Amino acid sequence: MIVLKWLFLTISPCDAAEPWQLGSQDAATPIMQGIIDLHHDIFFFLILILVFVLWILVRALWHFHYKENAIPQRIVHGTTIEILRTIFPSLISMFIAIPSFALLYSMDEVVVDPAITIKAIGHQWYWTYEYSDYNSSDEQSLTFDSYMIPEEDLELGQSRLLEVDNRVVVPAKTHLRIIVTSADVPHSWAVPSSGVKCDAVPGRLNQISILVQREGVYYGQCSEICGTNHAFTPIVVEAVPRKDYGSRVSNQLIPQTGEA
Amino acid sequence: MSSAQMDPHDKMRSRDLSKVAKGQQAPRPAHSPGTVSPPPQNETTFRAKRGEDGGGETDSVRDDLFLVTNETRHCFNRYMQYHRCLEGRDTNDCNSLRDYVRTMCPETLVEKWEEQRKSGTLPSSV
Repeated sequence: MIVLKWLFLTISPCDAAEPWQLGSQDAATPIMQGIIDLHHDIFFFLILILVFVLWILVRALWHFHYKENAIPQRIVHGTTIEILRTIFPSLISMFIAIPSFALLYSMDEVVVDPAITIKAIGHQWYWTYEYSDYNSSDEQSLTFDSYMIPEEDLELGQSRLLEVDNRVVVPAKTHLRIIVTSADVPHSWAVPSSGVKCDAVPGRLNQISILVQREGVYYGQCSEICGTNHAFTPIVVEAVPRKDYGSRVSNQLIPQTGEA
Repeated sequence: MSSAQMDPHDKMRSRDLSKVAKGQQAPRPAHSPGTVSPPPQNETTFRAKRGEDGGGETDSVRDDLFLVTNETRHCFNRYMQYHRCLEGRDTNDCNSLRDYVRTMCPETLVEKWEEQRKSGTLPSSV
């Protein structure tokens, strides 16, 4: 059974958190790919610095052991080493900062006209989603609540504390704009494999733009302490092929909200 | 596999320049950037189907004033624009503005502003 479980875990898609996970989830958007790449780039410098500092440390401990060198040399300054240890760290910081800022600003700016706008509104303790591009006249927007499925209602294979009753259905390979806000206290709309974590602040509308590159089901959780049931406010985004999206929205979601 | 039919992985493979020069290996094909096609036009749910804005590719609610994360003013601006339009011109012309408001603003916010507008307490004049 354990072997079966282990096998299942290794083949399960990585768009939700896994037990003992150390790295990031697989990227589903260019932003997340950028974040993972930046992490790897910075880690390269991190390892270099770590090895260098450890080497200096061990060397100092070894050579200036009290038995080895009872009276250390009384050197108080050295111009060369002081110049070097000022310039090199600043260069390293620059090498880290440049790609970091490039990524930060590219994430912030909405460059492309989004094809679809979805509003995610945080509540204590569920998310409400509004699809507002679909009204023909003065009718109400397509709105639905997304509650967590409680543990006793879970079916085999569903993830505890992550599954919701109504998923956010989005088309894959389409520029999406998500407007995040809150109705009561601050929440945070986060989907790790999309590289998105956006605070939902009451009275403020935050916009994020994403482009989901592959179809799949992406799991996230509320990421701002929002009260007792903060842990039970998951987010599930389901990216479907573009050709199926219209029918998914019109057939599945609309009857659930009682609108035709 | 014929030469015209290219193995998809072949695009990615590195080239041995000397082999390419001798004609033993095909050169790397020109890179064509990926495309993102517009949403389908034939769905009844899409705004394009309404025939209001000529089936444009996007909902074009992007405003050059509001390119960053904070869109709070964007929503309010659109709302005020819509009502300014309603007061000034024929209602039919304002449909796209109404759609922008609907796209940008949460329903509860618009409802609140509608109430404020009716009671004359909206913190801005139309």
